[in-house]
Amino acid sequence: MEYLIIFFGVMVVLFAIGVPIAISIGLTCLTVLVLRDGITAIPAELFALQIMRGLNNFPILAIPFFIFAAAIMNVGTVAMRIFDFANALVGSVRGGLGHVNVLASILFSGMSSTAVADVAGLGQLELKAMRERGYPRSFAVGITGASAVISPMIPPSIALVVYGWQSGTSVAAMFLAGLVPGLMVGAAFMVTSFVMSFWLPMPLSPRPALPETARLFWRALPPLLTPVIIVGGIWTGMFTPTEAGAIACVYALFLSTVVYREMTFALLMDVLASTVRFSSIILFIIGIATFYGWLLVRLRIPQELAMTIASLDVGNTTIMLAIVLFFLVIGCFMSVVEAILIFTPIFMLTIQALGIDPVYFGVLMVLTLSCGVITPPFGNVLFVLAEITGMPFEKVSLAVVPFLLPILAVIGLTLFFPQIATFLPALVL
Amino acid sequence: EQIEIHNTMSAGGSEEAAITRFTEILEERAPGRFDIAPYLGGQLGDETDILELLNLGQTQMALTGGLFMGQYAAEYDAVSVPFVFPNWDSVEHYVMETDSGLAMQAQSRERGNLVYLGPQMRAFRHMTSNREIHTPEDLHGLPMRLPQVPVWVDVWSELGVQPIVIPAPDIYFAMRTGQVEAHENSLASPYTRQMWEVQDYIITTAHLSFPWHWVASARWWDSLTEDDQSLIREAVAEARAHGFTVEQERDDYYRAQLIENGMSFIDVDQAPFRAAAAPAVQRALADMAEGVTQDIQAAIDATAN
Amino acid sequence: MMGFAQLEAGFARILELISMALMMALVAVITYAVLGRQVFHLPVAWSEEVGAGLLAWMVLLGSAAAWYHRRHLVIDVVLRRLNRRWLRGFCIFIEIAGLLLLVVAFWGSQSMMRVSVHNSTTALGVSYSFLYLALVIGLGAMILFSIAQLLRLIRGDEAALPNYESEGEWNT
Ligand code: NA
Ligand code: NA
Repeated sequence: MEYLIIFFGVMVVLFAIGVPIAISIGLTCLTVLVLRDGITAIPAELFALQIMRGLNNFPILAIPFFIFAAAIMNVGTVAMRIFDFANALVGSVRGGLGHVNVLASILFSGMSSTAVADVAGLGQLELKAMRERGYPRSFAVGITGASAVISPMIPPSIALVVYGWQSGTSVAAMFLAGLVPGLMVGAAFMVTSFVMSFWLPMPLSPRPALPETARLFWRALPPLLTPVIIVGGIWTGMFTPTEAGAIACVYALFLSTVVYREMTFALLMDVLASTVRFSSIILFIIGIATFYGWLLVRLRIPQELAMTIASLDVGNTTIMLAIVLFFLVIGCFMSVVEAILIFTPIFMLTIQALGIDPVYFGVLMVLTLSCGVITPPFGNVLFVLAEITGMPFEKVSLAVVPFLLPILAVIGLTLFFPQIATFLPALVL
Repeated sequence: EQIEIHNTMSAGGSEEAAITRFTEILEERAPGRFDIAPYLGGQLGDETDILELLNLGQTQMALTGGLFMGQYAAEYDAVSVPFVFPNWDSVEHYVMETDSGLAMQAQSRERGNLVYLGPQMRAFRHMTSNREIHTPEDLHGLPMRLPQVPVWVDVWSELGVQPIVIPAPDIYFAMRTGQVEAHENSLASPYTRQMWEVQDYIITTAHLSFPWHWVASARWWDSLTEDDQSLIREAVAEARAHGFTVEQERDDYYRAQLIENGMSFIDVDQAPFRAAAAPAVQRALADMAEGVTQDIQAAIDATAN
Repeated sequence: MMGFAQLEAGFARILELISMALMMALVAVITYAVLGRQVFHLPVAWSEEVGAGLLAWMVLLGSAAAWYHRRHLVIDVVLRRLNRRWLRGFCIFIEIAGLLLLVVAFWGSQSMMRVSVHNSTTALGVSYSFLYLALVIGLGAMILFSIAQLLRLIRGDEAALPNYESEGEWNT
């Protein structure tokens, strides 16, 4: 167990002093190996073997695909089309652009696979519209940031892919399992907007005539089909989640070049370059973290943890509650994907030993860790918001706080009613 | 002395039983001498990863599948070809006693740093389907799941199925959605995957017993004393025998359970299937080393009773 | 030294261009596999293998290019609060720490490349050496970029230090 302290302590120190994430994780492994076997017996081959195990990996291929598809979609007017359609649907309901903001994020989450992609793409439009209509700035910033958390819950989702792969759970099942909790988070935000509209000035959009709504729907339809293709294709068994990623790329390319004619060769090269850069950075971390997870198992840390926790003789719900609180704290300090990579191998054996459904566990894990993207000190979404709005980081952080409550409510519900996560995959798969 | 033993199956099967027996025997005959650490369920990696760890001397032993033969000694790998060996004894004889088997062992050591300790029986593979199959003609156009093993795909294509190569975890789902209507494996597969929900028939083609193999890393093995080596060899032999018994019990149990859950067994005459598959089987054997065909026959003759 | 900087940038660009081409190839291969199975009823048994192998190459070359651009994820809350002198010291330490890991992994990679000549993939029988070559090239390039960066830092090149005035506090 003393190794667990080294595993965690060395890594955190390296993170904190600014060593790149991937290198920190790798150096932690190196430290553990040197402490175990001595400096002369460093098994250098293990680094190569394990990095390759993480990268020569079909399920993980979904990640660059979904990043690429979202980047292509973000080039043109897709975000605007979705925003306009959401506005026509719910902009006239009490709560106004608050609902629009949430609904647009739900619709957009079927294309984007990370929370940051949501604020960076759609967030600008939402903030601009709310500012023009005179919505209070902190409300605008808060709901824009918070609604981005829906994205990793609704397929496609990098976090769910990584969890599925790491835990040996079907990615298709994870995609279906995230859907209902994701929509519940959206619904909880809408309730919050509705309630807040009683004391905040939140002007409504005019209700458009039916033909106008139909026109906006028609304009938004092609991109809205992306999630239908992804989930439908997986559901009917036409393709695997990884293959769905490739199909989504082809579809996005088709839309942007043939249907909208917004894609030029120069733009495509830009999109490709940023896709390759972002994917490589994430996957290089995944490669090295594969070694980290392997080494943990090799030193039998998860095995011992599982035995210790199983011998505690408290109920599964209590244990899950403790783990969820732990993840809420961890989420503040680590990005979602990194935390999944590090903690899935640690907790998986415990989960199996206690007979907890890994699908339910994964959904809770992703949902709780995702809160970290909108909490200080390292919330990526907060950084993006501060960048877009020019608001100080502290103010942005405060603006998001009220919206943590609805998320926590959904986490609590899912915790005590696992069926929220598990019934859809059980029904369909 | 720590001995890590790897296997890709999860706990509860004949694999775990054999490894447990192996541990007991060593503990009994050399108390406290060895510290056995089993890693079941592919905890430290799939077969490819474990072969590389053994090659490097980074781990000690494994109860591994047939992959290493394809990698290091493909020209002697007759035990991976369906419809070749009629029973388990002939498989064991081929690997342990014939020149081809010994050449396979030598080449695995030379190319993959593997010390070969013996095969462990795995129940014969059959096919499941939601179509009634009595003769090879009934297979025509049947969308059947096959693993990514070229010779298996070739043989089953010869039999007329439409092969669909998908990973094992997706099988049940693919059956549910109708992408796949059949698959082949030992009875543990339809039982653990609860296939009675998506498949109606089990056709006892008994086309292959695809064994486990006890192997050790040569780098580690060579560092042991001769006494320890022979002790481990003995323990492996007894563990294999125990694994055999447990595997047969499990197979009978699976059969009973599958029937109870509503699956129908069709006990087909294997001969027409063997005949229909023959061209593909011949193609596979023709690629192998000289003497393999004779050694197969010798193994079959030697174990016929 | 102008010539060297251009050479370095050109090398990084080539790595990135190859990585981009591989990304397009991945889309093509997997789409072909889906069409092959669903439309033409051909089992494309090699698509997973080729997809996974190309992914490894794409990531390692792309990762090297990103290393040159110093775009790998860093938590920089401490770094951005240091004065220039301390920042240089930290950067040199971080670069050396990175080099240490990269050299160990590189050493292991070239060794694995030799050890795994007889290990080959199941569908196409491609030797694993070809996969480990991607690690050798990718990690090798990262080592070269790191050495160049280290030399710049030690020489006292101001441009080699991160400039936090012009960057936002997030880098993805
Ligand atoms: Na999403
Ligand atoms: Na939003």
